[in-house]
Amino acid sequence: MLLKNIKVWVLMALIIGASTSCKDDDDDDNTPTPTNNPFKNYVILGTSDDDNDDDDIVIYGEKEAFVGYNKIWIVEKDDDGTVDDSFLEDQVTINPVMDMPMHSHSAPVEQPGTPDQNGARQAAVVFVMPTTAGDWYIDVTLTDDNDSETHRVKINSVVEPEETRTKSFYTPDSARYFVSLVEPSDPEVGINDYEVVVHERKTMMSWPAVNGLTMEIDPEMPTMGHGSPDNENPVETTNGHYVGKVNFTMTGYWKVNMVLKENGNDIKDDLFFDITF
Amino acid sequence: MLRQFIVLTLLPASVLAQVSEVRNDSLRVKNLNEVEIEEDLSQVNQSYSSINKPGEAIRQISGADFIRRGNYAYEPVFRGLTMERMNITLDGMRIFGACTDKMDPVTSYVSTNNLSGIAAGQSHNSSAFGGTSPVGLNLATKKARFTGEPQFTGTGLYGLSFNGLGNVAQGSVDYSSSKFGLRVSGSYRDADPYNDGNGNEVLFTQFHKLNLAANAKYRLSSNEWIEAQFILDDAWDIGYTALPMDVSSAKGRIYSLSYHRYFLNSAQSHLEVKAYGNDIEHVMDDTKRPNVPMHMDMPGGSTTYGGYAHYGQNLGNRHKVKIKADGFYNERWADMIMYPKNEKEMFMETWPLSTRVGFGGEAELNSKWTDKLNTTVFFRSNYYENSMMSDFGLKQISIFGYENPDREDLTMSGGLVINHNPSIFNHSLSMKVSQRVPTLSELYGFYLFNAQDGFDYMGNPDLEMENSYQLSYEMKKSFDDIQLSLSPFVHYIENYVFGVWDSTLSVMTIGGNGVKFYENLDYAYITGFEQSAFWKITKAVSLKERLKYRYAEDNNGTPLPLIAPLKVDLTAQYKKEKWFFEVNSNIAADQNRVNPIYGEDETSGYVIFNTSAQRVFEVGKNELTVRADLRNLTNKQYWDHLDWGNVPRAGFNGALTVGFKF
Repeated sequence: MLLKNIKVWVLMALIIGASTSCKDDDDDDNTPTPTNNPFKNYVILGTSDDDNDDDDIVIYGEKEAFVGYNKIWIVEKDDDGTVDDSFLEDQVTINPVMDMPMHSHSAPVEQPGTPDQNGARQAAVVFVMPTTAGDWYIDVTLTDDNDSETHRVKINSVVEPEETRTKSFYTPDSARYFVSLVEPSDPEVGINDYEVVVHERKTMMSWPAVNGLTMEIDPEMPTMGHGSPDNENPVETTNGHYVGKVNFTMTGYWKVNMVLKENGNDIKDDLFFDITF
Repeated sequence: MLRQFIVLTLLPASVLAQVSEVRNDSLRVKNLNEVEIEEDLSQVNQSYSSINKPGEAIRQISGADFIRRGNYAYEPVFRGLTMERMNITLDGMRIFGACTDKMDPVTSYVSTNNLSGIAAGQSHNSSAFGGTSPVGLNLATKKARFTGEPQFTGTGLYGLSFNGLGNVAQGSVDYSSSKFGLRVSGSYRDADPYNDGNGNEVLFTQFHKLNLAANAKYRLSSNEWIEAQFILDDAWDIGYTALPMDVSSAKGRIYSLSYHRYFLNSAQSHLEVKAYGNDIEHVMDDTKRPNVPMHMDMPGGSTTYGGYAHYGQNLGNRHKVKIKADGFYNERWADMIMYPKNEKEMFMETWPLSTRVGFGGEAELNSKWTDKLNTTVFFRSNYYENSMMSDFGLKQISIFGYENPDREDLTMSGGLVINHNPSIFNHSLSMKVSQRVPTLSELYGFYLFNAQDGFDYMGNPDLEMENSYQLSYEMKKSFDDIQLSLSPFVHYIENYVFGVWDSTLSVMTIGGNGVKFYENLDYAYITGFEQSAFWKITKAVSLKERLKYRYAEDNNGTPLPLIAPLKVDLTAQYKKEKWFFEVNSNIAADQNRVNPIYGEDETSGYVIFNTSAQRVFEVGKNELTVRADLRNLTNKQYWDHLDWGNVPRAGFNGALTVGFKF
């Protein structure tokens, strides 16, 4: 009731505000011009460096790229810094590549979706190692009706986070699984989403998502020897993602123990993620 | 009038001897609404003994016991009811302690030398100070006075106790005239850890305390005055031997301004209006404890603002009516911070910042039907609003499914007291019904560790209010030199709030036994009696006996915890002119009715002997008093059932005190 009223008031205020300020705006077109950079809260992870092309592919992240599950935003910018119109229409695929002297390999990837309001396309990459042995690149392929072109974007740096966000193990059937922590990305006291994504390394270049697992979680504070109540075990959603809830009763160092099962059998019973906040 | 009132109500024999010493303070006599049982602490026994520990003054009240966690700030218990069920006020002011472990009852923020009396009531008027708890306890401080001729008086005292070397230094000065009065007092006390009856030092029983108080009165006209009050209480380095932590600092700042008026009319109307505030800061830590798994701090704070208006007048010759309105605002918080080695500190809000607002109104009618029969009926209603202000706290409890812990409560209480005084004896019957809103810990506490049962306690915002039904009776019989009294009571509490183990939760505190949630039990009851006898053998020699017994259990027949066993106090006194001698024995029976779930075990009885001697010397117009006290003469190794952790009490102790008055 109160909320409804507030909405009415806000609406009225907007109408009044708009009617009084309309005169000044008559000359302008109706598209709002962004007064500030829509990407100011993001970090540039890398930019394509094609000498023969004025357009740049820019890859943004929420923070500096790290070993683990990274949400990234891909955008093609004209030389004036605005989003290239054709980018909104193109088909976009990406492929991460670790380029090492002896060999190169790929990494788990979630392909870009449709452009968001900033013209950026969200994707995700699990960097499985830091940029120490070699450099990470993301090959961005733009395809329209006529042709396709690939831009190689060098990721400036992929760091090892203070607490491991990706862990790998061999299943009893000798498959190599990578489990990456997606949430909590910003843990706090109370109820937190707990989300992991699981991939299998079939080959150095093929990292499909693993579906059909069941999981149990058990958070504990090792220093104190206690856990927390009412956690929800992650359940499968899509693309190898599993979502549950983890409860933290205080700040400090938490260890979230996990048991992973496939077809009802334990495939890993001593996996854990450290989460300190 | 006051004297008669006192004699007719619940007065133990020990106090009868002192009734004649109640100072003829006209203000207090008129201000009847302040007091139900007035026990004058200016008696020799109290003010000139340096052996009593801070907060121990309540010992004087019959029906009172203590829960001891250390050697300081004992938690008062009245007729088996602990602090949650008591409404303790200081000069009518609401003060809420800032310690999650109940280590700072209101009694800990005052000094004995600044107390004039303690009013305790269970049967009648216990709601008079702004709450509807079953038990009300009001501490009255010493006030400035008005005198016809300007006067300047003062007192000073120094005492030394030898077991757990302790110092007491106290002083006060009083200036009074017909228009203006000022009283300033100060007190410093400290003690080292004491030795028990086996000669072993009981670590973490030390304390330090400084208390400064000022009270000023200014007369606006012949029948009205204003009064201002300020109390500063700083305590530090306080050991709590029965707990895993000590108190590094406990600070109280208490202030008030009031207006008093006596109307010059036949109805003898009286009006008092007071505005007050207080701030409490309390810091627990374990920096001095050896072998702690990790260092921990638990700071807390409490701020209260409030006010009340009392009005009373006579209605004809028979009736006297009193009306009260009061309100307060309190905000409190407490945090826990742990510092593990080589790891990020851990933090949680054990009392997330929360507010409680309360408003109440009360009416009381006192009727004198005949010389031998009078009645009092009263009714009070309170409105309370509890809110959790901390977002962090809200997120903490969201884990347990509490989305909106805020609540509003409306409480009702009322009662009837009948005093009947036929010539052969005096007796009175009182009935009271009251409701209690759960405390902050009971509602919002988050993993509060109880060292007695080893459980972490979780608040429960969905608790029902407690409904309590009290019935008490008192009979007194006086012969020429002998006075006898007997006061049985029964106290039935519906929705009794108690910690219930939730075995699905893992304990937070290292080494703890589990987690308990506060829940409403169907009911619990406490019954018992106090009995006393006083025999004035000669003008100088008297014998006193006090006995009390409580029996308490919940709806499953399980004994309630922290219930004192049968206890007897025997005292022989010799008092003549400048001399005073006393031999005293405290006797406690075994307590076998215990609550093991609450971490209790059976406690053996004990017999302790104490003795005191005092001599007053006149030095010109001034008085010099020298006093010696000896406690636990047989150096008995013992502890009381209400002492947490079976921590032994002090063995043989002696104290020397020198005081003067000018």
